[in-house]
Amino acid sequence: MSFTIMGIEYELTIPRNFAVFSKFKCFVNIGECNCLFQVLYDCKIIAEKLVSYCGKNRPNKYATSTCTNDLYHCVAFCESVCNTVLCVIKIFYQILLSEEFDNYMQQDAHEFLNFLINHINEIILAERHQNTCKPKQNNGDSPAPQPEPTWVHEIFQGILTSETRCLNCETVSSKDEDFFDLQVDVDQNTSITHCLRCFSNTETLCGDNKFKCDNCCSYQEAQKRMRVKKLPMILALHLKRFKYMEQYNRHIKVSHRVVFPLELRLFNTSDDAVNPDRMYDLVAVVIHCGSGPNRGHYISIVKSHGFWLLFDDDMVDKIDASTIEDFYGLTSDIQKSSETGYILFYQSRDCT
Amino acid sequence: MKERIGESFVGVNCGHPRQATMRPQARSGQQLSGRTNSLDRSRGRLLQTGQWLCDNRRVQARLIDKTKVTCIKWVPGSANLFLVSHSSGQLYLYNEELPCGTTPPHYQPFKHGDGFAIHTCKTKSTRNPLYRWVIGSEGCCINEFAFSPCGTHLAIVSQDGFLRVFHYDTMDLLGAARSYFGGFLCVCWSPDGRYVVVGGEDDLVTVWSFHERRVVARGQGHRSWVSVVAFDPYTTSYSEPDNAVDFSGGSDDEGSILQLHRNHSTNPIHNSSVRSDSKERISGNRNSVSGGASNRNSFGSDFNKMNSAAATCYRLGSVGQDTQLCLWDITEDLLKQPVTCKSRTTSCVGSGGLGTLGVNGSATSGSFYGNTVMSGCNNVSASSQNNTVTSKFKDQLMDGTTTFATDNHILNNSTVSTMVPSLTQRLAGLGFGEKKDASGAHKRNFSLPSRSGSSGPDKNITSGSCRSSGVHRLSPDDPMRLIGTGACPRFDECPVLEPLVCKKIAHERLTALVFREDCFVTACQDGYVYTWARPGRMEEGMAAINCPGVLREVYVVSSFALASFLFLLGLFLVVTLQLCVGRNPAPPLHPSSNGILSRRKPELPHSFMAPSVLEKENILQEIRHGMLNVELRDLGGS
Repeated sequence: MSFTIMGIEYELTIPRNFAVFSKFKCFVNIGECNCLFQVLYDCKIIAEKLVSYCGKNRPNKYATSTCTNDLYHCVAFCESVCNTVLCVIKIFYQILLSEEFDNYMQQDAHEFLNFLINHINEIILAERHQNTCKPKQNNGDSPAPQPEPTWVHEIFQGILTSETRCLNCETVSSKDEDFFDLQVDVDQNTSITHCLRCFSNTETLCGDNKFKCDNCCSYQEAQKRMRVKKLPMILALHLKRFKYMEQYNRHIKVSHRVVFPLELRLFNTSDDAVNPDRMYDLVAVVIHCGSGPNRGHYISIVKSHGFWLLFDDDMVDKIDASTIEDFYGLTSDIQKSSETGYILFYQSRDCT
Repeated sequence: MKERIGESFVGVNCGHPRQATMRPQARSGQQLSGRTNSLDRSRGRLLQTGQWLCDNRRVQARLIDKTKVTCIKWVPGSANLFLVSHSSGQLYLYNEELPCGTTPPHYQPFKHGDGFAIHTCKTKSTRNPLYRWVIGSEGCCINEFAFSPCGTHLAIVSQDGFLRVFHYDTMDLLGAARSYFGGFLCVCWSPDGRYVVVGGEDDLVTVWSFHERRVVARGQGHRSWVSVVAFDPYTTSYSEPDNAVDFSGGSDDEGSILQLHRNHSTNPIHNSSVRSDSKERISGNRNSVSGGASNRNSFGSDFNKMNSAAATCYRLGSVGQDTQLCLWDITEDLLKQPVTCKSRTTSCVGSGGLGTLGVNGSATSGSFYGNTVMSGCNNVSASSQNNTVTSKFKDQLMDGTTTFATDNHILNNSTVSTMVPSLTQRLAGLGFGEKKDASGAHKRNFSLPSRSGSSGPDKNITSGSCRSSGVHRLSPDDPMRLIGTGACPRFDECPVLEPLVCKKIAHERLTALVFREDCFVTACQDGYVYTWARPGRMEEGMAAINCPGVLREVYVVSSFALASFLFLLGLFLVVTLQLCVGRNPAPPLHPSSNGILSRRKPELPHSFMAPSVLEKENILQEIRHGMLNVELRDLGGS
């Protein structure tokens, strides 16, 4: 795969693995970072954006580089391969070095994904801000206007609309909210389609959880339903596999078998949805291996150039698409170690 | 996966007149290569086939295709031809009597069309395979195929989400449908050959009309992928000749009342193949007696009069990875809903440019598959509009009815297949919908989600125009362009069925479903085979266990595995099959015993499936095929 940025063709043949970071800084749990980096990096549109972003900002970034010595070696190595991709690494590296991340010990891959998305977004915004302050550095390329959403948002952001019907006055009020991923509950022997449908099931707000109806000016029982109004380019589905169990007084892993097809369309779109027919293809899965939330390991499988690759720390294997079914989960309820899909990344077909 | 052909064929052969399918092993998850398939042959014949592939020609067959076998079937009406599909997306026609050759075959193109290509072997002497069909894109697994009851048509479903229906002899692609998303996993034909039902990774059961070449309904009820669909020919009701007259002639009170009785053959006795007049009357009476329990009757005869158009009702069963069994009733009134037509045809008339929608929508989709289909569609629509039956159409009807070779059905079909319902029928449909809402108790099991009367047509017009512009943009082999056409209607453009019964019947995902006259059989991933008695057949079935019976089914799981679980199989088969063999003529059917396979009761499936009906004792036998399971896994792992 190659990209053409500013007239230069870049061949993406860098080391496929970001586990090199572990050389620089010892993280307790590099697995989820690594697997997510792989996912993000291999997702073509993200990679393109990252690369083009880094390509654009390269001179700037180099001057203000705060690389450590070790990184410099790495940089030197990578530079010979591709400078632009190096910047991609650097962004990730920056994130790893950032203050927030220092406080970060045992991490959940999903939390980390959120962190990553937000952080990349912040970096871009900061960059953009800098550029607007010193426009002359930009060689005539006028920067985009400020409030424009960043490409991270363009890629991951969708809109959920929650419709609430007051059972007293029958008024339907709807509220839109942004999302970067959908968090769905899992059931035994179901499909992700069913989980998504449950996500949009109508729930009744009653008891302590009543709804404040503007029309009735009081708390009323209501029915609420969440549906997708704008489908994102990349749909990240987070399976809620870590459930708090009262009886054990801790979180346990739910290894239910949840099948996910290689192709997906959403049933739970709202009537006024912008693009309800979007067809999604599975591009990456973050897999949790192990028996509980506090132990275990993350690996990822990523579709890259038509092949499925499995990333396990510094090991990369080409796998057959049929082995994906090994990661659906277990049908027995006996608690044991399992390798189960945890975050699914579906990419819209029309954006490629 | 790992190279094997024919190493673990599992065949089921039943002395049963009609096809039955049984797959007691994995579709996925376990590394099973073969799948059972029914073969309408004698037992010895099947064994021969298994051995043919397993022992004698395995090495040679490996040269042909190393990927796993997904389905194997005899070609109907032929003594020694059979078809084998592979996960590589290839389908091979073998002649049992021909050699495979010692070198990999070279192929030359024979015929090709949109999404398929057919090759022959490039040799001087005839050798196997006779033909190679390549379906879909490279390496898209063929999950199952099925011949129509008449044997002339072949329906193939594959992992690329397409159902393709071919004329087997001419090798023409007659029609295609596309899943909502994901692959199609299973396929079956309705007993009269008019509908093809497929299930797949979209958790839906999709009904495709062969005559109209479009998706006519979708069933939503499974919580996971649908692994097997099967029609229940014993509960499917067929209309009588007087109905046909009634149908064409409008509303004739006498006729529809008659029909009321006849169509309500809730009892499995209502077997269309053998039926005497007296029996008929009895069943009719029985229904009227049990009118209180049978909601259809409780609904009142006026309703039935109105719906005299709804001549037939198909009973469909499906099992899936959600461990659930779903039973569906596909009724004629549902299938005849002018769904896409309702709003679309009007819009076509108005805008003119959008003339490819509605009834003609099938023609649009057809045009993607070449002229043959196009003309086929045109024929169909033309014939429907003129209320005449073209010769081609008639042929198909004739074909479709060969299994139930009664003259009545030809009549029925020809009338039933009128695709533009008369005004009375439409009214009937409307009235019906209202009644359903009003009564609430009567669940007619279909709905059109989010279809608001006023905004519907407008919305459709806009979406239609968007689509037409979109079509040009997309590449020709993109399934996206099919969205909104007859091959893949949007979700709100197509009637959505709800299951009559939806019941979790196992702990592991289900892999097989076979309907028999007095029972149905399911198999499950963990090696259990369950036989479920039909209501009223319970005691009889229990009694039959001790009767001597004939072994009528044989599983063959490769030559070396065969011996090891023959014992278990024998045990199972003797038990289950005796049930079938030892059956008496129809037992008296008590209204109270209307259970799992009787007509619906109002409201929830749970109440329908009263515990007394479906409790453990109703499982006549439950045999742990521990060994079978082990064997199969071993096979897969090696």
